[in-house]
Amino acid sequence: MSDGLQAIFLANQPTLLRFLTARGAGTDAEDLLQELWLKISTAATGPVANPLSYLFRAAENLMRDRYRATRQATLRDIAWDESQSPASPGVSDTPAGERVLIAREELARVEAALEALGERAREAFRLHRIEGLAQRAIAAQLGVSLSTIESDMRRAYRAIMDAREDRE
Amino acid sequence: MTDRHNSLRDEAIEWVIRLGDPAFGDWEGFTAWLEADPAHLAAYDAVVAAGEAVDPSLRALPQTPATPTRPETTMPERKARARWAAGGLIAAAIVGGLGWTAMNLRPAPYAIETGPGEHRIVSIGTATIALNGDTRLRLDHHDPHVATLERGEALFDVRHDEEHPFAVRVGDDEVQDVGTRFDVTREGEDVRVAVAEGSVVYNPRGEAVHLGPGQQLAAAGDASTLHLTRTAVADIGGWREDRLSYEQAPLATVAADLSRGLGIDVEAAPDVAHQRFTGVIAYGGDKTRFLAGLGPLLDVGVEHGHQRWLLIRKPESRP
Repeated sequence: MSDGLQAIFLANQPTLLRFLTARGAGTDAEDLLQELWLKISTAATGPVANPLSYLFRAAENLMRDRYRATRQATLRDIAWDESQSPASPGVSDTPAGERVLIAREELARVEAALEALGERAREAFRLHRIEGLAQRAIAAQLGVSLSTIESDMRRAYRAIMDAREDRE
Repeated sequence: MTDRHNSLRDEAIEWVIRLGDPAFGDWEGFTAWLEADPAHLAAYDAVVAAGEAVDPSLRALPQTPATPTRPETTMPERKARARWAAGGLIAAAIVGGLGWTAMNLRPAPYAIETGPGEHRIVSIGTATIALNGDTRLRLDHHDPHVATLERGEALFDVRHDEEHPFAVRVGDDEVQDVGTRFDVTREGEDVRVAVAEGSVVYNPRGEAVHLGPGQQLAAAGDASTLHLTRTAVADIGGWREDRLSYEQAPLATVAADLSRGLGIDVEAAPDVAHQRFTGVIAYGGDKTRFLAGLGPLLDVGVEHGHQRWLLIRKPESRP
Protein backbone atom coordinates (compact mmCIF):
# COMPACT_ATOMS: atom_id res chain seq x y z
CA MET A 1 0.00 0.00 0.00
CA SER A 2 1.27 3.43 -0.80
CA ASP A 3 1.95 5.72 2.11
CA GLY A 4 -0.39 8.21 0.49
CA LEU A 5 -3.36 5.86 0.76
CA GLN A 6 -2.44 5.01 4.32
CA ALA A 7 -2.30 8.66 5.25
CA ILE A 8 -5.65 9.32 3.58
CA PHE A 9 -7.16 6.39 5.46
CA LEU A 10 -5.93 7.64 8.81
CA ALA A 11 -7.05 11.17 8.12
CA ASN A 12 -10.53 10.03 7.10
CA GLN A 13 -11.23 7.33 9.65
CA PRO A 14 -14.24 9.11 11.19
CA THR A 15 -15.83 9.69 7.77
CA LEU A 16 -15.30 6.09 6.72
CA LEU A 17 -16.64 4.86 10.05
CA ARG A 18 -19.72 7.03 9.62
CA PHE A 19 -20.21 5.64 6.13
CA LEU A 20 -19.88 2.00 7.26
CA THR A 21 -22.37 2.58 10.08
CA ALA A 22 -24.93 4.14 7.75
CA ARG A 23 -24.26 1.45 5.16
CA GLY A 24 -25.54 -1.24 7.54
CA ALA A 25 -22.49 -2.22 9.61
CA GLY A 26 -24.16 -0.93 12.77
CA THR A 27 -22.17 -1.86 15.87
CA ASP A 28 -19.70 -3.87 13.74
CA ALA A 29 -18.52 -0.69 12.02
CA GLU A 30 -15.26 -0.55 14.00
CA ASP A 31 -14.42 -4.17 13.14
CA LEU A 32 -15.20 -3.58 9.49
CA LEU A 33 -13.01 -0.50 9.43
CA GLN A 34 -10.22 -2.72 10.72
CA GLU A 35 -10.98 -5.27 8.02
CA LEU A 36 -10.91 -2.50 5.43
CA TRP A 37 -7.52 -1.41 6.69
CA LEU A 38 -6.16 -4.96 6.36
CA LYS A 39 -7.64 -5.28 2.92
CA ILE A 40 -6.05 -2.16 1.50
CA SER A 41 -2.78 -2.92 3.33
CA THR A 42 -2.40 -6.29 1.62
CA ALA A 43 -3.81 -5.38 -1.79
CA ALA A 44 -1.23 -4.55 -4.41
CA THR A 45 -2.37 -1.20 -5.64
CA GLY A 46 -0.76 1.07 -8.12
CA PRO A 47 -1.13 4.81 -7.96
CA VAL A 48 -4.72 5.70 -7.12
CA ALA A 49 -6.25 8.68 -8.89
CA ASN A 50 -8.65 9.57 -6.13
CA PRO A 51 -7.54 7.89 -2.90
CA LEU A 52 -10.52 8.85 -0.76
CA SER A 53 -13.00 7.68 -3.36
CA TYR A 54 -10.98 4.48 -3.67
CA LEU A 55 -11.34 3.87 0.07
CA PHE A 56 -15.08 4.50 -0.01
CA ARG A 57 -15.42 2.15 -2.95
CA ALA A 58 -13.56 -0.56 -1.05
CA ALA A 59 -15.86 0.01 1.94
CA GLU A 60 -18.93 -0.22 -0.30
CA ASN A 61 -17.69 -3.53 -1.77
CA LEU A 62 -16.98 -4.85 1.71
CA MET A 63 -20.59 -4.16 2.70
CA ARG A 64 -21.96 -5.75 -0.47
CA ASP A 65 -19.92 -8.91 0.20
CA ARG A 66 -21.14 -8.98 3.77
CA TYR A 67 -24.79 -8.57 2.79
CA ARG A 68 -24.51 -11.34 0.19
CA ALA A 69 -22.78 -13.70 2.63
CA THR A 70 -25.45 -13.11 5.28
CA ARG A 71 -28.23 -13.81 2.80
CA GLN A 72 -26.59 -16.99 1.56
CA ALA A 73 -26.04 -18.20 5.12
CA THR A 74 -29.75 -17.70 5.78
CA LEU A 75 -30.70 -19.65 2.66
CA ARG A 76 -28.35 -22.49 3.64
CA ASP A 77 -29.99 -22.73 7.08
CA ILE A 78 -33.37 -23.13 5.44
CA ALA A 79 -32.07 -25.79 3.07
CA TRP A 80 -30.52 -27.67 5.98
CA ASP A 81 -33.77 -27.62 7.97
CA GLU A 82 -35.65 -29.03 5.03
CA SER A 83 -33.18 -31.82 4.46
CA GLN A 84 -33.82 -32.90 8.06
CA SER A 85 -37.58 -33.08 7.64
CA PRO A 86 -39.01 -36.56 7.11
CA ALA A 87 -39.81 -37.35 3.50
CA SER A 88 -41.94 -40.40 4.23
CA PRO A 89 -44.46 -41.39 1.55
CA GLY A 90 -47.67 -39.46 1.74
CA VAL A 91 -46.09 -36.55 3.56
CA SER A 92 -46.25 -33.37 1.55
CA ASP A 93 -42.99 -31.64 0.74
CA THR A 94 -44.85 -28.66 -0.61
CA PRO A 95 -42.93 -25.94 1.23
CA ALA A 96 -39.51 -27.04 -0.11
CA GLY A 97 -40.85 -27.68 -3.59
CA GLU A 98 -42.66 -24.39 -3.71
CA ARG A 99 -39.61 -22.44 -2.64
CA VAL A 100 -37.61 -23.90 -5.49
CA LEU A 101 -40.44 -23.17 -7.88
CA ILE A 102 -40.79 -19.62 -6.62
CA ALA A 103 -37.07 -19.06 -7.23
CA ARG A 104 -37.41 -20.50 -10.73
CA GLU A 105 -40.49 -18.44 -11.41
CA GLU A 106 -38.76 -15.35 -10.15
CA LEU A 107 -35.84 -16.00 -12.48
CA ALA A 108 -38.25 -16.56 -15.35
CA ARG A 109 -40.03 -13.30 -14.52
CA VAL A 110 -36.75 -11.38 -14.28
CA GLU A 111 -35.63 -12.79 -17.64
CA ALA A 112 -39.00 -11.91 -19.18
CA ALA A 113 -38.59 -8.38 -17.80
CA LEU A 114 -35.14 -8.13 -19.43
CA GLU A 115 -36.64 -9.39 -22.67
CA ALA A 116 -39.44 -6.82 -22.49
CA LEU A 117 -36.91 -3.97 -22.11
CA GLY A 118 -36.05 -4.09 -25.77
CA GLU A 119 -32.68 -4.61 -27.31
CA ARG A 120 -31.04 -1.24 -26.75
CA ALA A 121 -32.05 -0.81 -23.11
CA ARG A 122 -31.06 -4.39 -22.41
CA GLU A 123 -27.66 -3.93 -24.02
CA ALA A 124 -27.17 -0.63 -22.19
CA PHE A 125 -28.03 -2.37 -18.93
CA ARG A 126 -25.54 -5.15 -19.71
CA LEU A 127 -22.78 -2.64 -20.44
CA HIS A 128 -23.57 -0.91 -17.14
CA ARG A 129 -23.77 -4.07 -15.00
CA ILE A 130 -21.28 -6.42 -16.64
CA GLU A 131 -18.75 -4.22 -18.43
CA GLY A 132 -18.95 -1.52 -15.76
CA LEU A 133 -19.01 1.30 -18.29
CA ALA A 134 -20.02 4.83 -17.32
CA GLN A 135 -23.34 6.00 -18.75
CA ARG A 136 -21.58 8.52 -20.99
CA ALA A 137 -19.45 5.75 -22.49
CA ILE A 138 -22.54 3.57 -23.01
CA ALA A 139 -24.28 6.45 -24.78
CA ALA A 140 -21.29 6.89 -27.09
CA GLN A 141 -21.06 3.19 -27.73
CA LEU A 142 -24.71 2.74 -28.61
CA GLY A 143 -24.91 6.05 -30.47
CA VAL A 144 -27.69 7.58 -28.39
CA SER A 145 -27.93 10.53 -26.04
CA LEU A 146 -26.91 10.39 -22.39
CA SER A 147 -30.46 11.13 -21.27
CA THR A 148 -31.72 8.12 -23.26
CA ILE A 149 -29.26 5.87 -21.43
CA GLU A 150 -30.21 7.40 -18.09
CA SER A 151 -33.83 6.60 -18.74
CA ASP A 152 -32.93 3.08 -19.97
CA MET A 153 -31.11 2.44 -16.68
CA ARG A 154 -34.05 3.56 -14.53
CA ARG A 155 -36.45 1.53 -16.61
CA ALA A 156 -34.26 -1.57 -16.37
CA TYR A 157 -33.90 -1.42 -12.58
CA ARG A 158 -37.59 -0.72 -12.09
CA ALA A 159 -38.48 -3.67 -14.31
CA ILE A 160 -36.27 -6.17 -12.46
CA MET A 161 -37.47 -4.85 -9.10
CA ASP A 162 -41.08 -5.26 -10.22
CA ALA A 163 -40.33 -8.78 -11.39
CA ARG A 164 -38.80 -9.70 -8.03
CA GLU A 165 -41.44 -8.02 -5.89
CA ASP A 166 -44.32 -9.60 -7.79
CA ARG A 167 -44.34 -12.67 -5.58
CA GLU A 168 -48.01 -13.32 -5.16
CA MET B 1 -47.32 -0.85 -4.21
CA THR B 2 -47.59 2.44 -2.37
CA ASP B 3 -46.32 5.79 -3.63
CA ARG B 4 -43.90 5.92 -0.72
CA HIS B 5 -42.56 2.51 -1.61
CA ASN B 6 -42.09 3.55 -5.23
CA SER B 7 -40.41 6.87 -4.54
CA LEU B 8 -38.10 5.22 -2.02
CA ARG B 9 -37.28 2.56 -4.57
CA ASP B 10 -36.63 5.15 -7.29
CA GLU B 11 -34.25 7.03 -5.00
CA ALA B 12 -32.39 3.78 -4.24
CA ILE B 13 -32.22 3.00 -7.97
CA GLU B 14 -30.70 6.46 -8.64
CA TRP B 15 -27.96 5.79 -6.11
CA VAL B 16 -27.22 2.32 -7.45
CA ILE B 17 -26.92 3.75 -10.97
CA ARG B 18 -24.70 6.61 -9.80
CA LEU B 19 -22.43 4.28 -7.82
CA GLY B 20 -22.20 2.07 -10.89
CA ASP B 21 -20.18 4.83 -12.54
CA PRO B 22 -16.50 4.08 -11.90
CA ALA B 23 -15.89 7.80 -11.42
CA PHE B 24 -18.57 8.23 -8.74
CA GLY B 25 -17.34 10.61 -6.04
CA ASP B 26 -20.30 11.87 -4.02
CA TRP B 27 -19.76 9.57 -1.04
CA GLU B 28 -20.68 12.32 1.37
CA GLY B 29 -24.06 12.78 -0.30
CA PHE B 30 -24.61 9.03 -0.34
CA THR B 31 -23.80 8.74 3.39
CA ALA B 32 -26.18 11.60 4.16
CA TRP B 33 -28.97 9.92 2.18
CA LEU B 34 -28.45 6.62 4.03
CA GLU B 35 -28.47 8.42 7.39
CA ALA B 36 -31.62 10.40 6.60
CA ASP B 37 -33.94 7.39 7.01
CA PRO B 38 -33.23 3.79 8.03
CA ALA B 39 -35.59 2.64 5.27
CA HIS B 40 -33.12 4.01 2.70
CA LEU B 41 -30.57 1.27 3.44
CA ALA B 42 -33.09 -1.54 3.05
CA ALA B 43 -34.32 -0.09 -0.25
CA TYR B 44 -30.75 0.31 -1.47
CA ASP B 45 -29.74 -3.23 -0.47
CA ALA B 46 -32.79 -4.59 -2.31
CA VAL B 47 -31.77 -2.87 -5.55
CA VAL B 48 -28.16 -4.03 -5.21
CA ALA B 49 -29.38 -7.61 -4.63
CA ALA B 50 -31.74 -7.42 -7.63
CA GLY B 51 -28.85 -6.20 -9.81
CA GLU B 52 -26.57 -9.01 -8.66
CA ALA B 53 -29.32 -11.58 -9.20
CA VAL B 54 -29.79 -10.48 -12.79
CA ASP B 55 -26.08 -10.45 -13.68
CA PRO B 56 -25.87 -14.15 -14.66
CA SER B 57 -28.78 -13.66 -17.08
CA LEU B 58 -27.10 -10.59 -18.55
CA ARG B 59 -23.83 -12.47 -19.01
CA ALA B 60 -25.72 -15.22 -20.83
CA LEU B 61 -27.37 -12.82 -23.27
CA PRO B 62 -26.65 -13.42 -26.91
CA GLN B 63 -24.61 -10.35 -27.61
CA THR B 64 -25.79 -8.45 -30.61
CA PRO B 65 -23.27 -6.31 -32.43
CA ALA B 66 -23.79 -2.64 -31.68
CA THR B 67 -24.29 -0.28 -34.61
CA PRO B 68 -23.08 3.06 -33.36
CA THR B 69 -23.93 6.10 -35.38
CA ARG B 70 -20.83 7.84 -34.14
CA PRO B 71 -17.33 6.57 -34.79
CA GLU B 72 -15.54 5.07 -31.82
CA THR B 73 -12.75 7.10 -30.35
CA THR B 74 -11.34 5.01 -27.53
CA MET B 75 -9.51 1.72 -27.63
CA PRO B 76 -11.33 -0.29 -24.92
CA GLU B 77 -14.69 0.21 -26.62
CA ARG B 78 -13.45 -0.90 -30.00
CA LYS B 79 -12.08 -4.07 -28.45
CA ALA B 80 -15.44 -4.72 -26.82
CA ARG B 81 -17.24 -4.36 -30.15
CA ALA B 82 -15.09 -6.97 -31.84
CA ARG B 83 -16.09 -9.42 -29.11
CA TRP B 84 -19.80 -8.78 -29.68
CA ALA B 85 -19.54 -9.31 -33.37
CA ALA B 86 -18.28 -12.83 -32.73
CA GLY B 87 -21.13 -13.42 -30.27
CA GLY B 88 -23.69 -12.30 -32.82
CA LEU B 89 -22.35 -14.71 -35.40
CA ILE B 90 -22.60 -17.70 -33.06
CA ALA B 91 -26.13 -16.78 -32.08
CA ALA B 92 -27.16 -16.49 -35.72
CA ALA B 93 -25.73 -19.91 -36.52
CA ILE B 94 -27.74 -21.52 -33.71
CA VAL B 95 -30.95 -19.85 -34.81
CA GLY B 96 -30.35 -21.04 -38.34
CA GLY B 97 -29.95 -24.61 -37.12
CA LEU B 98 -33.21 -24.55 -35.23
CA GLY B 99 -35.10 -23.19 -38.19
CA TRP B 100 -33.95 -26.07 -40.36
CA THR B 101 -35.02 -28.75 -37.86
CA ALA B 102 -38.43 -27.19 -37.39
CA MET B 103 -39.14 -26.99 -41.12
CA ASN B 104 -38.12 -30.58 -41.70
CA LEU B 105 -41.39 -32.05 -40.48
CA ARG B 106 -44.83 -31.20 -41.78
CA PRO B 107 -47.44 -31.98 -39.15
CA ALA B 108 -50.14 -34.56 -39.90
CA PRO B 109 -52.30 -34.48 -36.79
CA TYR B 110 -55.03 -36.92 -35.78
CA ALA B 111 -57.02 -37.35 -32.59
CA ILE B 112 -57.91 -40.28 -30.33
CA GLU B 113 -60.88 -39.87 -28.09
CA THR B 114 -62.60 -41.90 -25.36
CA GLY B 115 -66.14 -41.49 -24.11
CA PRO B 116 -66.96 -41.16 -20.40
CA GLY B 117 -66.17 -44.39 -18.58
CA GLU B 118 -64.22 -45.84 -21.54
CA HIS B 119 -60.55 -46.85 -21.35
CA ARG B 120 -58.24 -47.28 -24.31
CA ILE B 121 -54.56 -48.04 -24.92
CA VAL B 122 -52.53 -46.79 -27.91
CA SER B 123 -48.88 -47.19 -28.87
CA ILE B 124 -46.88 -44.66 -30.83
CA GLY B 125 -43.12 -44.55 -31.31
CA THR B 126 -41.46 -45.13 -27.95
CA ALA B 127 -44.63 -44.60 -25.93
CA THR B 128 -47.60 -46.67 -24.78
CA ILE B 129 -50.43 -44.44 -23.71
CA ALA B 130 -53.45 -45.47 -21.61
CA LEU B 131 -56.38 -43.10 -21.99
CA ASN B 132 -58.85 -42.62 -19.15
CA GLY B 133 -62.54 -41.87 -19.87
CA ASP B 134 -63.67 -38.61 -21.48
CA THR B 135 -60.18 -37.93 -22.81
CA ARG B 136 -58.97 -36.45 -26.07
CA LEU B 137 -55.38 -36.87 -27.22
CA ARG B 138 -53.94 -35.34 -30.38
CA LEU B 139 -51.10 -37.24 -32.08
CA ASP B 140 -49.11 -36.72 -35.23
CA HIS B 141 -48.48 -39.31 -37.99
CA HIS B 142 -45.19 -37.59 -38.89
CA ASP B 143 -43.91 -37.13 -35.36
CA PRO B 144 -44.26 -40.13 -33.03
CA HIS B 145 -42.49 -38.30 -30.18
CA VAL B 146 -45.15 -35.82 -29.27
CA ALA B 147 -48.68 -36.03 -27.91
CA THR B 148 -51.07 -33.23 -26.96
CA LEU B 149 -53.54 -33.86 -24.16
CA GLU B 150 -56.54 -31.70 -25.04
CA ARG B 151 -58.64 -32.86 -22.11
CA GLY B 152 -58.92 -35.71 -19.62
CA GLU B 153 -56.20 -38.00 -18.29
CA ALA B 154 -53.61 -40.34 -19.72
CA LEU B 155 -50.84 -42.54 -18.36
CA PHE B 156 -47.65 -42.52 -20.43
CA ASP B 157 -45.15 -45.38 -20.47
CA VAL B 158 -42.12 -44.14 -22.34
CA ARG B 159 -38.97 -45.97 -23.32
CA HIS B 160 -36.41 -43.23 -23.27
CA ASP B 161 -34.67 -42.40 -26.53
CA GLU B 162 -31.87 -39.88 -26.11
CA GLU B 163 -32.19 -38.72 -29.72
CA HIS B 164 -35.94 -38.28 -29.58
CA PRO B 165 -37.25 -37.38 -26.15
CA PHE B 166 -40.99 -37.83 -25.87
CA ALA B 167 -42.94 -34.67 -25.11
CA VAL B 168 -46.48 -34.27 -23.84
CA ARG B 169 -48.10 -30.90 -24.42
CA VAL B 170 -50.89 -29.78 -22.15
CA GLY B 171 -52.22 -26.35 -23.02
CA ASP B 172 -49.20 -24.08 -23.01
CA ASP B 173 -47.26 -26.50 -20.82
CA GLU B 174 -44.96 -29.28 -21.87
CA VAL B 175 -43.80 -32.41 -20.07
CA GLN B 176 -40.71 -34.10 -21.41
CA ASP B 177 -39.78 -37.63 -20.45
CA VAL B 178 -36.38 -38.67 -19.27
CA GLY B 179 -37.37 -42.39 -19.57
CA THR B 180 -40.39 -43.05 -17.55
CA ARG B 181 -44.00 -43.73 -16.62
CA PHE B 182 -46.13 -40.74 -15.76
CA ASP B 183 -49.72 -39.60 -15.60
CA VAL B 184 -51.03 -36.32 -17.00
CA THR B 185 -54.45 -34.80 -16.35
CA ARG B 186 -56.04 -31.80 -17.95
CA GLU B 187 -59.20 -30.45 -16.39
CA GLY B 188 -60.10 -27.20 -18.14
CA GLU B 189 -56.95 -25.10 -17.78
CA ASP B 190 -55.67 -27.00 -14.74
CA VAL B 191 -52.87 -29.45 -15.31
CA ARG B 192 -51.61 -32.26 -13.04
CA VAL B 193 -48.52 -34.38 -13.65
CA ALA B 194 -47.59 -37.39 -11.48
CA VAL B 195 -44.47 -39.50 -12.00
CA ALA B 196 -44.47 -43.25 -11.22
CA GLU B 197 -41.04 -44.20 -12.60
CA GLY B 198 -38.02 -42.37 -13.99
CA SER B 199 -38.37 -38.64 -14.28
CA VAL B 200 -39.86 -35.92 -16.41
CA VAL B 201 -39.15 -32.26 -16.97
CA TYR B 202 -42.13 -29.96 -16.75
CA ASN B 203 -41.85 -27.05 -19.21
CA PRO B 204 -38.20 -27.67 -20.23
CA ARG B 205 -38.04 -24.25 -21.88
CA GLY B 206 -39.85 -22.49 -19.04
CA GLU B 207 -39.71 -23.36 -15.37
CA ALA B 208 -37.85 -26.61 -16.19
CA VAL B 209 -39.06 -28.44 -13.09
CA HIS B 210 -37.64 -31.96 -12.74
CA LEU B 211 -40.10 -34.43 -11.26
CA GLY B 212 -38.98 -37.79 -9.91
CA PRO B 213 -40.90 -40.89 -8.77
CA GLY B 214 -43.70 -40.10 -6.36
CA GLN B 215 -43.74 -36.41 -7.17
CA GLN B 216 -46.86 -34.70 -8.39
CA LEU B 217 -47.13 -31.23 -9.80
CA ALA B 218 -50.34 -29.22 -10.07
CA ALA B 219 -50.52 -26.08 -12.18
CA ALA B 220 -53.70 -24.05 -11.98
CA GLY B 221 -54.48 -22.39 -15.30
CA ASP B 222 -55.25 -19.01 -13.75
CA ALA B 223 -52.52 -18.86 -11.11
CA SER B 224 -48.80 -18.37 -11.50
CA THR B 225 -47.83 -20.82 -8.75
CA LEU B 226 -47.05 -24.50 -9.17
CA HIS B 227 -47.70 -26.95 -6.36
CA LEU B 228 -45.44 -29.92 -5.74
CA THR B 229 -46.73 -32.74 -3.57
CA ARG B 230 -45.82 -36.36 -2.86
CA THR B 231 -47.98 -39.22 -3.94
CA ALA B 232 -47.61 -42.97 -3.52
CA VAL B 233 -45.96 -44.38 -6.65
CA ALA B 234 -48.16 -47.49 -6.69
CA ASP B 235 -51.30 -45.33 -6.87
CA ILE B 236 -50.32 -43.45 -10.03
CA GLY B 237 -52.46 -44.64 -12.90
CA GLY B 238 -54.69 -46.51 -10.42
CA TRP B 239 -57.69 -45.33 -12.44
CA ARG B 240 -56.98 -48.16 -14.87
CA GLU B 241 -58.09 -50.58 -12.14
CA ASP B 242 -60.98 -48.29 -11.15
CA ARG B 243 -59.03 -47.06 -8.17
CA LEU B 244 -58.29 -43.47 -7.25
CA SER B 245 -55.90 -42.38 -4.55
CA TYR B 246 -55.60 -38.91 -3.03
CA GLU B 247 -53.47 -36.93 -0.69
CA GLN B 248 -55.20 -33.73 0.42
CA ALA B 249 -57.02 -33.36 -2.90
CA PRO B 250 -59.87 -30.85 -3.25
CA LEU B 251 -63.24 -32.55 -3.79
CA ALA B 252 -63.62 -30.69 -7.10
CA THR B 253 -60.69 -32.77 -8.39
CA VAL B 254 -62.10 -35.99 -6.94
CA ALA B 255 -65.49 -35.31 -8.56
CA ALA B 256 -63.88 -34.63 -11.94
CA ASP B 257 -61.86 -37.87 -11.72
CA LEU B 258 -64.96 -39.86 -10.79
CA SER B 259 -66.92 -38.38 -13.71
CA ARG B 260 -64.18 -39.43 -16.07
CA GLY B 261 -63.87 -42.93 -14.63
CA LEU B 262 -67.53 -43.73 -14.09
CA GLY B 263 -68.95 -42.03 -17.15
CA ILE B 264 -71.50 -40.36 -14.89
CA ASP B 265 -71.54 -36.63 -14.19
CA VAL B 266 -70.35 -36.05 -10.60
CA GLU B 267 -69.97 -32.52 -9.34
CA ALA B 268 -68.87 -30.92 -6.05
CA ALA B 269 -71.11 -28.08 -4.87
CA PRO B 270 -69.23 -24.80 -4.33
CA ASP B 271 -69.36 -25.08 -0.53
CA VAL B 272 -67.49 -28.42 -0.56
CA ALA B 273 -65.41 -27.99 -3.74
CA HIS B 274 -62.34 -26.96 -1.71
CA GLN B 275 -62.85 -29.52 1.07
CA ARG B 276 -59.84 -31.88 1.16
CA PHE B 277 -59.85 -35.64 0.86
CA THR B 278 -57.11 -38.13 1.65
CA GLY B 279 -57.66 -41.79 0.90
CA VAL B 280 -58.38 -44.39 -1.74
CA ILE B 281 -61.63 -44.78 -3.67
CA ALA B 282 -62.35 -48.05 -5.49
CA TYR B 283 -65.28 -47.60 -7.85
CA GLY B 284 -65.69 -50.93 -9.62
CA GLY B 285 -69.03 -52.71 -9.51
CA ASP B 286 -72.48 -51.20 -9.35
CA LYS B 287 -72.16 -47.50 -10.07
CA THR B 288 -75.41 -46.32 -8.49
CA ARG B 289 -74.79 -48.20 -5.28
CA PHE B 290 -71.19 -46.91 -5.24
CA LEU B 291 -72.28 -43.29 -5.61
CA ALA B 292 -75.05 -43.62 -3.05
CA GLY B 293 -72.50 -44.91 -0.53
CA LEU B 294 -69.84 -42.32 -1.33
CA GLY B 295 -71.02 -39.74 1.25
CA PRO B 296 -69.44 -41.21 4.41
CA LEU B 297 -66.11 -41.81 2.65
CA LEU B 298 -65.80 -38.24 1.43
CA ASP B 299 -67.52 -36.76 4.49
CA VAL B 300 -70.20 -35.09 2.39
CA GLY B 301 -73.84 -35.52 1.50
CA VAL B 302 -74.68 -37.00 -1.90
CA GLU B 303 -77.65 -35.79 -3.89
CA HIS B 304 -78.91 -37.66 -6.93
CA GLY B 305 -80.05 -34.95 -9.30
CA HIS B 306 -81.66 -35.25 -12.69
CA GLN B 307 -78.62 -35.85 -14.86
CA ARG B 308 -75.86 -35.82 -12.28
CA TRP B 309 -74.71 -36.60 -8.76
CA LEU B 310 -73.96 -33.65 -6.54
CA LEU B 311 -71.58 -33.69 -3.55
CA ILE B 312 -72.99 -31.31 -0.94
CA ARG B 313 -72.23 -30.39 2.64
CA LYS B 314 -73.32 -33.06 5.15
CA PRO B 315 -76.90 -32.32 6.14
CA GLU B 316 -76.27 -32.38 9.90
CA SER B 317 -73.32 -30.02 9.65
CA ARG B 318 -75.34 -27.35 7.88
CA PRO B 319 -75.92 -24.17 9.87
